[in-house]
Amino acid sequence: MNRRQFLQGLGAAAASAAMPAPSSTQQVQAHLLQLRQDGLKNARPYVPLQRLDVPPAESHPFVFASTPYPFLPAAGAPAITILTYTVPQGFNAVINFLAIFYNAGGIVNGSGNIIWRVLLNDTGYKGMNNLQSQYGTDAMPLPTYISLVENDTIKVTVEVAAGVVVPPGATTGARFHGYEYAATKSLGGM
Amino acid sequence: MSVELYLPNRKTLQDLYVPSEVELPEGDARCQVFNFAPVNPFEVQEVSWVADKPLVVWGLNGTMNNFTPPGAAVAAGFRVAIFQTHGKTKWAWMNKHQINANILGQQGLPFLLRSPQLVGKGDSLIVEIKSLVTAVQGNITRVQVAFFGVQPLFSMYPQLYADSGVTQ
Repeated sequence: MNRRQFLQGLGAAAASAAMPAPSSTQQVQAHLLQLRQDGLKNARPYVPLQRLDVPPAESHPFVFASTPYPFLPAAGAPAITILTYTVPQGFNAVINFLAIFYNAGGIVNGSGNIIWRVLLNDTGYKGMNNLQSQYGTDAMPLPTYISLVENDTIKVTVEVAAGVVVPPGATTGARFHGYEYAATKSLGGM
Repeated sequence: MSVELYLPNRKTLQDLYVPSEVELPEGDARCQVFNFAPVNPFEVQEVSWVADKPLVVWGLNGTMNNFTPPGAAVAAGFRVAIFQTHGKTKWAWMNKHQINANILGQQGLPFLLRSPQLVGKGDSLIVEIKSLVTAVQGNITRVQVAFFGVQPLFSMYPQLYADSGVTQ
């Protein structure tokens, strides 16, 4: 339906309902509504990349890992950050492999004794804000498609529940594999 | 109290922030609330809503309170993102999650959209919130995000209801 038909429709509806002809203000309102409806039809998606696992040709790959692997914090102590990455200005990024792991015995996955959190701009990443088990291994990070916008900071923190006996020398680490691409390639990213 | 004028147009300052009369169609007021509870520290939650009628959104509000009564306000706040789907296209209203104070008003002062946003009949809105409460702070909270808008009158804008099945 074009704009003219839309405005005619406005008049027809008014007439059929025995209402007075639309005022100039109502006609402008209808016109602006029509523009908005057209805008919806022309809306573009927010992630223009068709496949997050296929980097654009001009992208910059990266690999970041905790260096060295930090010791676990004491039981009940505040969380420590084991890996952090900030997307450079002018770039968006995708993390397509992620690993969060633990090097020692004595801790059972899923017990809640160790809690890892993946934080994006200091808020949880959905489903990864309270990890109680390892995610992948140092040698085999798992495919994980996290789309980042310029200046985003993503980090992994770890904390040990109060009362847990931490094996001496136990360390933990994380690993990000991904790529950066020029933000102008994106329509906004997310 | 004197009125500040926005010269040279001799309009009040609020004209810089509120939509003009022609931006909002005649219709019924609606407040669509997205409720998230309980929200744990660092937790991420989404709530979706499919518009049963077209809605022209002109204002946004958001609050974060303790889940347990009496529900005092929690200062930590949250980040929020809004996604709209129309047909097969989905897009975000902002390019990354925003701190609530940036885009959501409170109490009697909603954040006003200078240019209102149309949510078509059948469109879906997804609001995703991310608690900024840390594990140390530990607040379990209730978050509410409210969209204030106008539902255009069917009698005046039947075209907007074309796919709705509304026959009134």
